[in-house]
Amino acid sequence: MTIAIALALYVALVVGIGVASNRKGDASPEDYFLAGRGLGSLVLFMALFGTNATAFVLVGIPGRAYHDGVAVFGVNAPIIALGIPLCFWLIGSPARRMAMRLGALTPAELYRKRFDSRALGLLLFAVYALYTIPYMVTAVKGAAVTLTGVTDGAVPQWVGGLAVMSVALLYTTVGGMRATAWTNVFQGSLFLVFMVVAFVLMARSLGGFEAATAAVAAHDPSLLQIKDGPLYTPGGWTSWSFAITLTVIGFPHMLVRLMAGKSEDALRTVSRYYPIALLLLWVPAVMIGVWGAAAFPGLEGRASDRIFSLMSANHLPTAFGSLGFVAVLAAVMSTLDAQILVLSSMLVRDVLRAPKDAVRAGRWFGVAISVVVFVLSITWGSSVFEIASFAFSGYVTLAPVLFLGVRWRACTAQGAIASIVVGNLVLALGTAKVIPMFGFLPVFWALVAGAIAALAVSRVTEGRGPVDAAFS
Amino acid sequence: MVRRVELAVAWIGAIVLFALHLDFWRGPRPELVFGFVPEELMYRVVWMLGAVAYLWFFTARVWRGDE
Repeated sequence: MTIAIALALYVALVVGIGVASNRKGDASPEDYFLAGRGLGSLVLFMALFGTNATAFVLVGIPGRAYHDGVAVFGVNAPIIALGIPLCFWLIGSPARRMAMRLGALTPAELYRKRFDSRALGLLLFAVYALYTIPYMVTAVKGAAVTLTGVTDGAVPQWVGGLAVMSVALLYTTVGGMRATAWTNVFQGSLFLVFMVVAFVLMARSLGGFEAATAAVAAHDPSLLQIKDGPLYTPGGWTSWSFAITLTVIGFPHMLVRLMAGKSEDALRTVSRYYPIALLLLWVPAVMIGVWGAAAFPGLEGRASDRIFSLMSANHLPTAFGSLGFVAVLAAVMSTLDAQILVLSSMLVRDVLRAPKDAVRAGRWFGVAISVVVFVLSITWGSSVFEIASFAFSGYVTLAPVLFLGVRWRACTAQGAIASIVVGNLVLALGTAKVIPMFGFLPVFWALVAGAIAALAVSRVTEGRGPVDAAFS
Repeated sequence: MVRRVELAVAWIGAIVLFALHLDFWRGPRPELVFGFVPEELMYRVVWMLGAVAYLWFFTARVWRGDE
């Protein structure tokens, strides 16, 4: 009953914010897809943070920390705290300015216009879709697993997934980017505050921080230090550091939000506070999983994705614990909405090339994408962490083009296409273990190969494509 | 001259932070700090606070508002 009330309040609020945001806009494609390029520091910060944090952090990371311990924190959180803001500077900042000059509304459109290459625009859309749809599946699965957990199985996973998709789709199609950005302010605040408070309350419920840690030490002391495993070898750790850092700027739903930033100052302010928010989110996420290993031993494989909901249901006051599901919902929807919007906008702008009623077409594409994601969420058997890892590796293959495209005038369309094709080929062959990786993860060599291909082919095809207007 | 020094500090800071992140020499450490914080976690948190300081410097002195 408490969950139902919390859920109803949450849905009413996000839909209300979405509808209210819609009244502010002027119904132009720029307003619908980019909020008129007017997101100030606070809204931009929460839009980026809310979009970045998803079921992967609230469900996947506790699930992984359940097996791997605090090492999960070290291999992920510190490097993204530094790397994401630096990528905002390296790629996001020039991309925002270039998008304004070229009148681009989507990441694929930005690079299509910069290189004057329709083929590149279509390729970028295809790769973005290839990795974004699985990433969306992790969000829906994460929310559905949590809802099933907190209701002791009373709500089947498919019902939870359907509800999440429907609500996110509703306010996204109504209000576009402005609606998703403002709902992200509410959603990001909700799940960040929840995680910090839940962290303290769970520790108290377990007998205090010392007792909680002692229980883990008694259960499995290796959870409190670096574990053995491919991710924690020097090669694996180095590879993953590059991958997890560069993947975020590879998310089209992140890059498009940077393009919607009002000013350079807004981006700089976001970059200052971003690592603090990540610290506040990741420490609780990892420790909930680590404590959960001692509190609920015996969860095998992807069953550990349930640990966040188990800990919320059993180690938080009932009323507050029911907010746990709402927090996961908030994290999930704040990413899903951005993904629905950016994929549908790219379909409209880069595949169909701006039909007469672009906003209406974008809304219908949003519905179609949501249906595909929902079907995959109930048929795809892998864990949230596994699916997210696949998507993250894929996004990294775009990093050389995203960087060189906005920072190196001599980069050509042929070089960009070669980079994406070669990078994805190496990633696929490495993942299938067809070629040797020499102790590194496939994504590392995919990044190296993609960068070399972009540089080499651009040199050979020099002078056949750069658009001066993009850099003036 | 000042700009060159700021850029040098930014480069050196980034390299030092990255090197400290690749801390393979430390190996697994079972110690607890303050009796309940795993040493591995404490090291990473302190590193992140260093990254926060670095980014404040970077956004103030290297990343110019008129870029």
